[in-house]
Amino acid sequence: MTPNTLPTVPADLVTGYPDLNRPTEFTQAGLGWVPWLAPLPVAEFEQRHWTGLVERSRAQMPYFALLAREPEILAARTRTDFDIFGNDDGGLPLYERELAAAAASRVNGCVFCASVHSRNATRLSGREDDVQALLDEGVGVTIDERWDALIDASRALTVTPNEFGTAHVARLTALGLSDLDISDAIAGAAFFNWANRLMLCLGEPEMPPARSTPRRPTV
Amino acid sequence: MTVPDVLDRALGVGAGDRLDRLRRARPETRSNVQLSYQSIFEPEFPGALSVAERFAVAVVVARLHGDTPVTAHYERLFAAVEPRAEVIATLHDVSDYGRTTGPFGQYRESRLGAESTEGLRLTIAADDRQVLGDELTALLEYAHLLVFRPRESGPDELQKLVDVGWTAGEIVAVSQLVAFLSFQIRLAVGLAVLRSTWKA
Repeated sequence: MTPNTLPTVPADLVTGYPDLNRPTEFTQAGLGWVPWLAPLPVAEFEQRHWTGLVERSRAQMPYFALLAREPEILAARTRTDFDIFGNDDGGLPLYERELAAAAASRVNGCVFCASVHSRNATRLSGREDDVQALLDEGVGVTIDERWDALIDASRALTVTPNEFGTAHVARLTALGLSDLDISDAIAGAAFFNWANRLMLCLGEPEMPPARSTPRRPTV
Repeated sequence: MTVPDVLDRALGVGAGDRLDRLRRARPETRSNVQLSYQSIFEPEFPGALSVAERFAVAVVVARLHGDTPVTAHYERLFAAVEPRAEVIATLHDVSDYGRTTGPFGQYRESRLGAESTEGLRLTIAADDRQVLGDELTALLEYAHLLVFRPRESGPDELQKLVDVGWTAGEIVAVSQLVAFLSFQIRLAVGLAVLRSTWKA
């Protein structure tokens, strides 16, 4: 290799953001996310990295471009995610899988994941106030029997040591949930113990840029 | 070639039984959970993060969760790649003195300060560090952070990994490993509990 073809090694591998405009609490608003490690530059993507993204457009998103440094695990993770939250062939309604994801994120303290999945739960259920109550009050919130049971099951599965037990299953079964409904809830809450940790350990959320003030018509 | 499904084996799922049928009702999830496992523990491109180091971290992460359906699996595969009893015993010691409750930690978000909580932050003892080496020690302290207080991660924590020589790709890999295990363990526990409610 001639010197000018050597890869450039950044002097600082890790980037902090002392002046970031950070969220101050849990919110359903759309947030940005900034990485503490450099995403893989698109110019360095090989076929395995594109394959890992599953969706090519994700190369523009720093979170996925960073995870693309390990593309095989990213691909399997992404397909697991899509099936748990998108496969509507029976089982738990999608909005309740999103609720489980939001509840797990609330327990772990992942403000970014909680924002995305609370917003999804609201969009799919139309229950913005109930979802907001989960964000504002936490997983001890009282909403209704079914959501309370799903939220508490998600909480119990998220804490360490694990507190998920037969009483959680019995409560859901008594509310009419099937095996598949319950396993969908388990998968949704469990998966966010994966996603939350990636989001929390590799970067942090930021407030979106303030919307530009609409120009007032001149009179 | 059919690779045995790790979760099925850990849970003792029998072909055609009720849990098998339930898992196979979500075939994409079932197969991609297995592929996730294989991509982490049977990597095509392991980089500097060796398979032995991957299983060492997995042993500690599993033991930090207490008694899980997958702990024996990781113990067995680690023992196959690292036969030194002293290393195994040290990982067990670290797991014992690292065990705490979670998630806990300080919130970065200003209005969540009232929800910040304290807990045990792992520092591996000097004599254990001697046995494990600086690289694995840093991985295990980072894994403990991710298991119990993921909201306290930050650039300084990643810098500790960089300082002992880990690169961005290896940090992504070990982060995926710990995060995946956090999922796999809960999925296994959840399904085992669900099954235990079924009448024989």
